[in-house]
Amino acid sequence: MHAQTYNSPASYRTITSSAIFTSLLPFGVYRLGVHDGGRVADLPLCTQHIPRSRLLPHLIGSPVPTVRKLLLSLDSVPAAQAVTDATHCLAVPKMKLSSREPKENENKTVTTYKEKSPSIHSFQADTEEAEEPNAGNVESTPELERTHRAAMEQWAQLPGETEADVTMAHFDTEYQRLEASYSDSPPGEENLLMHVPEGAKFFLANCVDYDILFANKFVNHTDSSKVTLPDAFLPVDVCSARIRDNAFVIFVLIISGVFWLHRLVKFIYNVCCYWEIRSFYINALKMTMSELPYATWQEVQARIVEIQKEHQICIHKKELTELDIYHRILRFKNYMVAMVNKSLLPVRFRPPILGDCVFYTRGLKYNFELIFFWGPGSLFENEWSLKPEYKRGGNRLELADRLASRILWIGIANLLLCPVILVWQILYAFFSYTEVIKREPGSLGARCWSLYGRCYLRHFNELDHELMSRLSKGYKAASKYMNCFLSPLLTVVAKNVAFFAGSLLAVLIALTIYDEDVLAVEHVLSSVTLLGVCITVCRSFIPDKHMVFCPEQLLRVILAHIHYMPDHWQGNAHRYETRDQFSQLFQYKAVFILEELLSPVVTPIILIFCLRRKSLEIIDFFRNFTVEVVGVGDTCSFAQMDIRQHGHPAWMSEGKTEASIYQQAEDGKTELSLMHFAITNPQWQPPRETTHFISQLKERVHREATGVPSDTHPLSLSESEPRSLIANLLGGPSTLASVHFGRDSSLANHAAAGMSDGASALRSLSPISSSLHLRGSLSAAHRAAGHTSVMSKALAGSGTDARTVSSGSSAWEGQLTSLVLSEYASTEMSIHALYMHELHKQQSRGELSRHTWHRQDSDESSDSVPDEVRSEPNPHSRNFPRSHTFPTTVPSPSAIPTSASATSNIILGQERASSQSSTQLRYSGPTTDSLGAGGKVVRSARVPMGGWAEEGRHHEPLPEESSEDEMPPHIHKVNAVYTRTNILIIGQTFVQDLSSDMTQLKMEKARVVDHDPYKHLTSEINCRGYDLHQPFKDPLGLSKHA
Amino acid sequence: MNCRSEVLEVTVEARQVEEAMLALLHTILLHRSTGKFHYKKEGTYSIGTVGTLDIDCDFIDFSFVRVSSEELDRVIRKADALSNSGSDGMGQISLEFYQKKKSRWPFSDECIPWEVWSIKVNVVNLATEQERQICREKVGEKLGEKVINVVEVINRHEYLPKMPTQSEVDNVFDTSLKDVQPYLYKITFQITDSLGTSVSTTMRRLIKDTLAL
Repeated sequence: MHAQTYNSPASYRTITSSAIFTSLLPFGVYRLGVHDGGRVADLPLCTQHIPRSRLLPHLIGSPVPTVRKLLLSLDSVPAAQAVTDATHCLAVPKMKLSSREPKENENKTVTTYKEKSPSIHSFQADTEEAEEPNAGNVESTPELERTHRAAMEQWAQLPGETEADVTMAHFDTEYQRLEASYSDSPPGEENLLMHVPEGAKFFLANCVDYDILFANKFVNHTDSSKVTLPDAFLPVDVCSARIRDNAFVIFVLIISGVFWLHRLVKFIYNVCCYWEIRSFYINALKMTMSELPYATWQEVQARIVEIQKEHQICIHKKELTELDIYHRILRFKNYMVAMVNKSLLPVRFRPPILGDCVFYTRGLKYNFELIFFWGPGSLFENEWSLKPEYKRGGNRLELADRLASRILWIGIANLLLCPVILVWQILYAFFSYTEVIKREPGSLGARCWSLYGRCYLRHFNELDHELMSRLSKGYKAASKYMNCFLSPLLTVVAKNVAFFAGSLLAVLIALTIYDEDVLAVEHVLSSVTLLGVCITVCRSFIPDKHMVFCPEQLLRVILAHIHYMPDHWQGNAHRYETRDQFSQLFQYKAVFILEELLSPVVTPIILIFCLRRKSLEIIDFFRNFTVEVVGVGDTCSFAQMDIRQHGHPAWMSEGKTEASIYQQAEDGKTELSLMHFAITNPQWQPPRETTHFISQLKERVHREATGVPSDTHPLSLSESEPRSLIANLLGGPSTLASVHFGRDSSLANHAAAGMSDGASALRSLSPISSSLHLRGSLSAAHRAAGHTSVMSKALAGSGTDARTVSSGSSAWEGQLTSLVLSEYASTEMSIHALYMHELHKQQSRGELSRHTWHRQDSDESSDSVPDEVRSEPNPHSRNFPRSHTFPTTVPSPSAIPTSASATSNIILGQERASSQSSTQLRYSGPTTDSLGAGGKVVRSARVPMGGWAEEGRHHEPLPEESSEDEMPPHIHKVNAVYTRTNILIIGQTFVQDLSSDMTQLKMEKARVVDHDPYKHLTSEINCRGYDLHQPFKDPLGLSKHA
Repeated sequence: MNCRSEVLEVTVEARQVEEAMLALLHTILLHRSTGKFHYKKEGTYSIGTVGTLDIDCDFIDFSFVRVSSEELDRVIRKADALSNSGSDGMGQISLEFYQKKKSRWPFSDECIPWEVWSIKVNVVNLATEQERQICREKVGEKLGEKVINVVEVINRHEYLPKMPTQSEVDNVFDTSLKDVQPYLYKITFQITDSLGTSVSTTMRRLIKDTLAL
């Protein structure tokens, strides 16, 4: 069951289809590394209570209607005949069934029947086992079949067998009777024919849109009564006459016709694209299709860089860098990310009742792209260059007017096409989700990362699969976090509803067991199904019994994966505001579908009333933030990840950045993107200042790790040689004890120990030590295993990254290594993200932070800075987590990293000025706009060349904002200790994750490769993984001691 | 994106347009032509020589060198004449060198440009003979500069298509001429700023993106 559900949910399909999309990208060579894409957010599984109607389709592996058909057919005829009858008319699912069923299941079935103890539960147990994929078990042995058949016949003769059991047993055994079933002719044909006129009502639907499974009810009856499908159709002339009468039907018919045509053309187009890309891979990259699934993107990229030297694909330069490739693939996406980052796109709204909400759908995105990038008269003249007039500032007002009128026209076109698109959307949603919902109603209660979230959380230069794997890793924690906030009222209601529905269901089931004819009563089956759905939905509102309320920690784990988070979430994780805002990034699937359905109506409104107003800003944005890169074309300058131009002083680029507020990327986007890119592409040679930044940051992490007094705790790693945690895990069996250090030392009630542990965990993952050590130890492992491969030499040698080195001796080895390394890269990035957020928090503490989350994009809502923020002049006073009894004073002098506190002092004035000016801007928005006709003049005066107002920077900081300086210093320290501990916890979580991943990986590989150089390694990790899995008992025990 | 583009701008009188264009186009083509390839056994080939010819202009104080191939001259003159059919004002001729990529039956061959020379022409009307005389000299000087400019650009070590094998020679060179073999080229012109090209590309994008959605 698990395995199947894992493979089937819609989210998986989205990933694969996104793989197809990405492969259509202009560069034409981008394909997902399968291992990265393979990580899927697992949907919640509801194995405990599964209504039969949901289980059966799983069993058969055929779509729902078939099963219903089967069931209905059984309802109307006596049991024995039902078996034969159904076998007669439904040969296809039967064959599927027979090929799927494992042996054990048959045995069990037999015993069940022999004992004459039919019950739904035993059946369910059987079916659940039947779900297990049994690749090797397809054919059942003749003996078994024989016993089975004997048992069946014996059973069939037993009198007084309950009907429900017959129905169910039938599913397990029908295929046995394939040959014997032809002679039977079903009685009760007259009876069923009575349904035909009634079915004629459905037939209109059937006639109009026969691909929709809507009419299956009708089909069922016809089927079981041997009325074949063509019989059930009305004569063509009647049908067409009926259709002609109804204009709406014609409309729907046309739309669905276009829909299917579109699907067909798209299919053909995708196949053509696939073919082209395939030939590129085979001919240019020299990668066969068979080895492609094991190749990671890094390897593919390395090949592209390689063939550039030979073929000169890009004629402008001799060598292609990784950044060039990313830029070409992600040109427009980078623009979108930057525009979302700078709150340029109107996606946040404050409608009267709903409050602050985000509306960003695929339709809206499509329109944005149409307007900016490729539509008629868009800003770009082709796929790679902005039109020259938009690069000049001279006639920006005129261009803005032109853009505004264009947006207006597109909005009107949207409005006119609205009914068509609406029907289209409904059809689309209907076709794609109905089956899923029927099969797994739980998927509606599941969550997914919203489209806005994907834009907000995306780094510059991050490919789809990188983003998706990152977000998928955070999925579990995120849904846990969201589940923390179930409303008690809702829980009470849900419990009662579930009970009510459950009782009804129980009665129905009991009745069905007693007499199968109950199912034949109209609507009984559907009500059983609906009740089942209802219970599943209710269940999602009932909190898990074993859940612990620890939002702060969960949020940190989430942050480790998603890397971005508005400042004011930290310390406020337990608040509903935070939760609501997070739910904008991480929404219900049902909400997602609903928004998509609403989108055709809302999109034109947004375009006409919101986007049009921003045309001048958009023109300015594209002019100011477009750079022309030789060999790449025009790209978004943010995507250059140049700290000097776009760094944010509050994000560790103080002193290095020359950016005005307008130029600064929010939320540390530049810095984090830079780190991310540098870590995922270690061979990339950044420009000098950037290298400086990276090395400085790494050094800082390093320094902080070593700056801790190493003699505070005997178990702390910092006194031993600086070996990395992971290198230990992988390489040396000698230091088994050191893995325990985290738990031990924190339980040892030593305040500073937690600190040093956190720091050493950090340091251990800092690339200075870890990547080298890791690689070193990896290569050592290679050698130990007797594999002096090319790669291990490369690894041991110049520190070349193994991710990009193609394997020398055995393909598996290289792939394993490269996978492991990319896993490390993501861990490393997570740690860095956490660290940077931590530092940022320390730097900007006590100031009126910029609160980019609430940075207003729509002018009318400029005053919407949340009340809780404004009314709290002292936001850090609530940085203490509510869930812990946290002491207010901890005498740990080494708690604050010296560098951080120093820089926070330095940066204070600067940051205050910037935050001041940002508030200034925020409030100056509506005043200029409310001027009406004269507003434009004022605004352009304020923004001489489209830049953001610079005068904001020159404002003197208001005295009342400097309350920060009066803060008692120990609070900082407490926080510092606390956060260090958190980092430590998360570090441990990673190690756990990592080890379990490794184990999984290992097991997968082991199936294929007999001989495995990593055997000892993984077993090592395994046992340590278990060690680490023990809960981290008292994160604050250290403070107790103090 | 993936091709070099060079822009030359000239301001001439209406009657000088043709000669000025010829001068520039021929200069570029002179440097982008080779002699005919004569293939021998086992993949070796010999390259013929390219004869040159000095041409004196009638309306400009200028003379230039061109390949002594009447056929090539005819082709260029034809294109040039077409482009001159427009009236005065602004205009642009571009000479595009491309490679062909063969594709299978239902699709036509794909042309991948690797170098584009755009010559922007500004046509002026002069009233007096005096001015015309001055213009005649000035245009001559300007053209001289342009020619040197062209030669400089061509002398840089930049991307050129690889020398093809016999079977692929059609993908790189224009082999239709008897006495000379320039790289595949295409002359396009545009009298005023028209939207002709962008609409078609837009439609293409529209269809493509709809499919990708």
